Amino acid sequence: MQKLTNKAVGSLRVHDVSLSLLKANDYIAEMIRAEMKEKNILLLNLVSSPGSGKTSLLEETIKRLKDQLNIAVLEGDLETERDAIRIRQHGVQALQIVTHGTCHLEAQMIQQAMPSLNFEGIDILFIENVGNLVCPASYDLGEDIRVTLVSCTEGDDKPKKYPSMFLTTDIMVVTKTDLLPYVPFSVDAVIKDAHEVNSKIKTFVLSALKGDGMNEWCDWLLKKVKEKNEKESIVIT
Amino acid sequence: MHEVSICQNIIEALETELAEDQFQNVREVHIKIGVLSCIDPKILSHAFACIIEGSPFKKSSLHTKLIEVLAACEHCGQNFKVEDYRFVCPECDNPSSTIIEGNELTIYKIILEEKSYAEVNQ
Repeated sequence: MQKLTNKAVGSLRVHDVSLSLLKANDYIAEMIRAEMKEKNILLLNLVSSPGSGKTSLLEETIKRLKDQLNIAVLEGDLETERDAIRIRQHGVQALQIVTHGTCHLEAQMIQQAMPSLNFEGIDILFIENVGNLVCPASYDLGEDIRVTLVSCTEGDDKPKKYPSMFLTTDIMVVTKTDLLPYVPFSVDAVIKDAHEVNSKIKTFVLSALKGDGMNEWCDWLLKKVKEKNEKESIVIT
Repeated sequence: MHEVSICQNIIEALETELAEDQFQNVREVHIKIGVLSCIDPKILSHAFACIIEGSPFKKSSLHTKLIEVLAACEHCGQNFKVEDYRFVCPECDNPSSTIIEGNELTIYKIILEEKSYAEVNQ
């Protein structure tokens, strides 16, 4: 017996929906944020172009702060474990996330890596994202603070050329300032452009190699760790 | 840059939203793409066409709507269109990065073909 349908062949039905395509990522990011809050760990997401000095900044920061803070690092790269090895040489926990071609880290990758870290006594967890000034902007990793690095050799036009990254960042760190005498880079111009994209951005200007500006950066990190420990909300100032 | 992985998210969103026997009836998927999402609509559509081959969604097509950036001025309360990523209010010249629109990456409409007489009787 054939069933009957009164629907004409080829008639269309429209579903009005609102399905966010990054919802899964944002959901996991909030889970990470909640876990870090419970553990009192300050979470920073470091992003920049490849070669801006994220690993060097981390190495110098670890050297200066490892007696005062317990630091752990998650390293993201397309291939190799080189960055995690560099960080481990400074005596801190570091784990490498190899993305095998994915151009950014996603919250799910952080969540997968977390059980492999020993969080006992950890004050601060740095995530070094894949070197890419585009895609990581769209992926919340549950961080308290997003830090974007711009090196002097890259040029001071980066904030306007990659606005979505500067729009979602809390901190801009201008790196490699020891090279300022040799390159046409204006610190004032990069700050002005960054503020036009994101008026709330806070800037550090430093050289991890020579140490200029490192004290200010480290003092600020110590202050933020303290805020996190006291369960205050983190204020980006 | 990561259009293929966004396409996988589209497929996952459809699979979650619809019943399995509706998959093959999807004809159009409409998505809003905010300028700030850094997703190129043409590349996304092309990636989608490639990814659905051989899947139950093979008869569907992706339709994209680009959403310009709209910001709100905290100072004078005006909403303004952001051009060239200059988040400065044209009315009062104060900086503002409070985004109202432009971050979207959302499916807002799915069009399905109703089951035909033949399908119902399968």
